[in-house]
Amino acid sequence: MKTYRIECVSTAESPITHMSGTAGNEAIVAREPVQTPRGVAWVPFLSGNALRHRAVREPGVLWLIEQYGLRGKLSLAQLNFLLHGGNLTESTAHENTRRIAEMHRLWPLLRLCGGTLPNQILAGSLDVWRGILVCEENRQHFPGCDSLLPAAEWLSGYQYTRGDGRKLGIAETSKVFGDDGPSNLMIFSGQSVIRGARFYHGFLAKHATEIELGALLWSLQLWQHAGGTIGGQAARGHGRLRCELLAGDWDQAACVEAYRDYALAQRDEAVAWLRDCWK
Amino acid sequence: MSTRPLPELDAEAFRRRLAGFDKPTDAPSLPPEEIRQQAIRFVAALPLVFGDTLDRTTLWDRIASALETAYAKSVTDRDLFITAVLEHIKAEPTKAVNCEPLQGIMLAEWTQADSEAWMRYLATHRLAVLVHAKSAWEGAKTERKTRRKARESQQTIASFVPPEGDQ
Repeated sequence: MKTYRIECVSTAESPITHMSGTAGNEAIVAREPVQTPRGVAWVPFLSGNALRHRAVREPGVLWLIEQYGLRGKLSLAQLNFLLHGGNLTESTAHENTRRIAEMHRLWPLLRLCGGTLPNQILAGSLDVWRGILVCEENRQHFPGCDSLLPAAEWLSGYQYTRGDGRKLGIAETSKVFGDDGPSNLMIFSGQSVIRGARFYHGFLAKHATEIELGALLWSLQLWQHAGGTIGGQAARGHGRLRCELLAGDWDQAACVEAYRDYALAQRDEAVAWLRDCWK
Repeated sequence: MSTRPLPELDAEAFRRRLAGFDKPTDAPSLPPEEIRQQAIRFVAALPLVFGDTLDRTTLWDRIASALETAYAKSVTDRDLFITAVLEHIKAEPTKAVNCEPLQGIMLAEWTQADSEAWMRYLATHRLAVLVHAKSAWEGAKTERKTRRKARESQQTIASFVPPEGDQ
C-alpha cells in the first residue's frame, strides 16, 4: 500500500458550462475567490465534487453495474448508494467494522469513493482536488509559466434557441390557424469557459493498493472514453475535457487490467454484500 | 469495452501543457495596457475618416457595428480587419491614406500574436473602447478648436494695422 498522487491537466475541447446559478436569465459559471497581488479575483473553477462524481464514481460504478448484471435489479436506495453515495436515513447509526472491511475487499472503487448506508457512514480514501483554471490569477500554482492570460480571456457566452413547431404547419388544423396559445420559442443563454482552456486537477489515493489505483485509472479511462464531460449542457456538446496525466511510478495498463480481473472475480461476493446491507 | 490509456506526460511536457503552448514566442509581446491604448487610439481616429455619405449622428453606432462586423470577418489578419472597419464606415480612400493616427497603427510592426490580441481586445471590450475613444476624440476636438482660435486671434492681431498718425 502507498499513497498515489495523480496529477492531471485537462484541456477543454468544447465550452465548459460548470454553473453556479443564474443572473437574470443567463446561467453563470461557477467561480471561486482567489487572492492576487491586486486583491481578490473571482475565477472559474471545477469543483472537486463534480470531478469526483463525473470522472471517478459514475463511470466506474456504471461499469460495475453492467459487469455484475445489476441493471434493473437495484432498489433506488442501492442505486443512490452506488452512484451518489447514498444517505443516512436511520435514526440509530452504528459502525459495523466487518461490513467496512468487506466493502474494502469486495469494492475497491467504493473504498476510494466511500458512501453512506442507511445506518452507517463508510469513509472514502480518495481526495479529489478542485480543477484550477490555468490563468494569470492562479499564477501562484504555476511557477515557471510566464505568459498566462487573465481569466476573463477564457470566458465567453452561448445562446441557444428552443423552437416552435407551429411554423411547420403540421399540427392539428385548429391549433395552427386558431390557437394563439403561448409560443414554445425559448432563448436560453449563459457563460462558458472556452475551448482550449486548461484546468489543473488531481487525485490523492491514500494508502491505496495497486488494485485501488487501477480502479481509479479505469474510471478515468471510462470517463474519457465517454467524452470526458463535466458540468452541464453535454446534450449540446458542452463539457468535454481531454485529460492527460503526469507520469507516475505505476504501470497504467497493468493496474487497470489487475483491477478489472479482480473486480470480475469478486462479482458474486460483492453483490451479496450489497444485498446484505439492505436486509 | 475498448478504451485507451490516458496519455502520460513527463514533467517538462506536463509543464508545457499547463502553460498552453509549445512555442513560448507565440505569446503577445505588447503588454496588455499597450494593446488597450492602441485599441482606443484606433477607434478615436475613425471619426476623422467617417464617410460623408453617412449620417454623422450615427457615428458611434456605426463604428460599433464596424468593429463587430470586422471581427466576424477576420480574427487573424489585421489589414483585413482594418479594411473591413473602414469599408463599414464608408471611409474615403484619400482620407484613409492621409490619416496619420491610422497610419501609425497600420504600419506598426507587431507580431501576429500582438495583432490578434489587439483585434480580440476590440471585439471583447467594444463598448468600453468606444467610451474611451469618444472621450479622446472629444478632447482632441477641443484641443483643435482651442488651437484654431489661438491662430485666428494671432492673425487678427497681426492684421490690425493702426491708421497713419497713430504710430
